[in-house]
Amino acid sequence: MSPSSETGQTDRRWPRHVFGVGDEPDPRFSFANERTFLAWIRTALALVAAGVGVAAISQLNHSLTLEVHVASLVLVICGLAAGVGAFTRWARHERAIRLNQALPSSPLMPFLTVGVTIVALIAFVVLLS
Amino acid sequence: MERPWDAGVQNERTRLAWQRTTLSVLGCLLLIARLVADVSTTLALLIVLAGVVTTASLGLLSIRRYRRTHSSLHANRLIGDGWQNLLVTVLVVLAAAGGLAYVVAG
Repeated sequence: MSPSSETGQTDRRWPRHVFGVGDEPDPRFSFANERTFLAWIRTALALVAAGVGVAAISQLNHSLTLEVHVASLVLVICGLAAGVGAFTRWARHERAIRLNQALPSSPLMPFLTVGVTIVALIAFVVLLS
Repeated sequence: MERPWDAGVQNERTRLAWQRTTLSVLGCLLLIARLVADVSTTLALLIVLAGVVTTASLGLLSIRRYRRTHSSLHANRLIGDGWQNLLVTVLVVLAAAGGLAYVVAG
């Protein structure tokens, strides 16, 4: 069912460090990798929107306090990291699938966990004060 | 249209994931444009215009990608490449840069 790498086609797919190595995998693995990439992209957009939203809502009554400013910045930076990390993660995983290797780990998840925990702690403090 | 390539309808599910992501990009850019409108109407209109054009392009690219992948799977040809992934990543980076500017300026 899966396409053969010996199709006679000239392979110009980008990036070459991904598609220029290994064998053609079962397409279902590539589709799953692509959907995971898109899920990370949507997570990144949600984090950016949350950061901007927190800043906008807190400005309705008064100027940004330091803790809300920090929370907004952390959320947007987490969104940026998730967006860039989504692409590098997709490329590294696709390469590993083609080389029949174990999927590499990523520092993205611990980074986002720390970021979201900081924001949750700030929200807790703000709600108590 | 031919029958799906596999029982798990992987290509169709991936196309729907692209559509969800395209709508999320549009929503995020419209949110940022609305917030920027309080500072500059011209800039907000530019963001809306750019957002609509880029997400419409992304939507059309997703449809083309689905059709090409569908025919490639049935014809046993090579599938996939990273250009569209890079495009959506650049859009997220631009949205994050806009958000960062808004938060820092606030």
